[in-house]
Amino acid sequence: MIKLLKANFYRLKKNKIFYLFLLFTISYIIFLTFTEYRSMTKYNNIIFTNDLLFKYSNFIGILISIFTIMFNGSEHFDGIIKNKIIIGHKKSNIYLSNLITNIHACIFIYIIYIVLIGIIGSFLFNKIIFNTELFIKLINVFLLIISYSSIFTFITMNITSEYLSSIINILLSFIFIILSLMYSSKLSETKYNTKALITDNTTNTFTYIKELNPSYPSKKERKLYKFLLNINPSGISYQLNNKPYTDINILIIYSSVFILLSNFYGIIIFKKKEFT
Amino acid sequence: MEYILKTENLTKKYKNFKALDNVNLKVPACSIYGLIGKNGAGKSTLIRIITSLETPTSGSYSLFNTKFDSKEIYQIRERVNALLDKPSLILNMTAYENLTLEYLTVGLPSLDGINDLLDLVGLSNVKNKKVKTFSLGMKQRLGIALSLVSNPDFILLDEPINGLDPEGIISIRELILKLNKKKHITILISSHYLDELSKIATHYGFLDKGKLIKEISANELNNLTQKKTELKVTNIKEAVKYFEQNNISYEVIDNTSLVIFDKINISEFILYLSKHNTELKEIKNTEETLENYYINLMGENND
Repeated sequence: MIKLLKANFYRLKKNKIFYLFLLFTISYIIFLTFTEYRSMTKYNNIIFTNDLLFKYSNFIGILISIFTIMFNGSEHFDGIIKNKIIIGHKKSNIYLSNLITNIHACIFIYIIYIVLIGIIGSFLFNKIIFNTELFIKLINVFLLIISYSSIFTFITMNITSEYLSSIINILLSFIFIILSLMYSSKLSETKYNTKALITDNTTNTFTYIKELNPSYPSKKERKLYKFLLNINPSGISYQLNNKPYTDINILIIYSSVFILLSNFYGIIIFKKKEFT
Repeated sequence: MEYILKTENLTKKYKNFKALDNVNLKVPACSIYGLIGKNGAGKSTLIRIITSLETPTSGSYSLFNTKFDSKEIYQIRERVNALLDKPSLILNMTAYENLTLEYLTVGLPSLDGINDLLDLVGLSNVKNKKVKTFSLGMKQRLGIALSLVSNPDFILLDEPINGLDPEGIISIRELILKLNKKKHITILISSHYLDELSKIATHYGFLDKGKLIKEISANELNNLTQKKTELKVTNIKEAVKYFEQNNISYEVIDNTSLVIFDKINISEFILYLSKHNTELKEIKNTEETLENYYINLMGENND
């Protein structure tokens, strides 16, 4: 396993996509701090550095999907995985070493984001407030990265065609975002709609009527939407950046189960996979 | 005889198609084993099974007397390497970097041997060039260098000269011979190029429709395919008498024709025949090549 990790990290060091990922992150930091600073100076908005720390998680899934395609997918294409099997490495070790390398690369990039945004944010906006909430949110964001890496590693390791796994990975990363927006919008429906009725045209007097919102989900539906939002990595990042619908401590459990299941089945399928 | 690879009733089925059908094959130590068969005969499937990229449907195989499903097989596999249809190279890396990656994957403590390996395959002058600029022959040689990193005792080569130009073919042939003679590496090589195989192989296995129809050593094959001269005479008894007197090996075909396997002084032979009232009606030199042998064998198998 250590041999495989050493080889993977050597390949990572030589991988252009990894450096592009890093460059994109730095560009995003510049863009984010610039737009937030503008909104602070122009509209007197109060910007909390703590909030900025999690903004990147909104679309990191798309970046992780691209990175895993380029890193794992090319292993199939270049025959590196076949070579590792031929020289006697266990399939489970090959799978795990690739997963660890992906997680390592993505967490490394997110740490760079956190450190840079933390330093710049502390100068331009408010200093970071170190509290339990921040700590729990950071655990959540790291688990989120591991979840994304796990599911995309699952796909890229088990689908030999680089083109097919690319399509599935990128589609899936968008599907995660679309579904999380769908469920969160369902959950943000208010129970009642307030209607304003003009009761006197001459004096422009309004009467406000509270009406039951027909789109408001039932108790059962809310439970289901919350569950679907929590098992979706993008749903978790939505909750970290907005009002959470579930206790953020509980989100840790959802992410952990997601990681365990995707890797458990990923390894089982990979072990049975034949390389024709 | 010590065998590096032994298969026992090795069978591989894909849905309704049998790619390998009860194959019993033995690869002797230090041999160059030529695996011959047309497309779809099962050569690549056999190599993929031996390299554990696929699992057999039934039957088994052992490498260095270790069964494929035993716990020790992972250690044994460190003594085996392969160059499949396409070498596992990262095109954006240099030859040196590709070898470094292989060194790390194998887990060697130092990178000292890389330059020697590049020398061996004749790529030391282009070691810092990106592999994407290499010709097919150079990529194949680098692929062989990669397969040598683990210092294997057994290498499987699947169609290593496919698509190569004559120069490339010669350099791969010389490299294979060098590895076998100097490093005593056992090599199993599958190829369509029978003429090339006949120049290097010490043993042959003929596969057809997933079945191993014949296994033969190069010496045995040479005996079967040696040069011979076919003669037709009016009195076969006189011709036989002459061959026996002169210790010439022969084989009678029918009342008028026979085959000889040694050189004869033809004028002396004709003179002898004429003295004994016998006439030489026809003389024909034939040489049966590996190709002819293969075609005949496939013909017999299909009949």
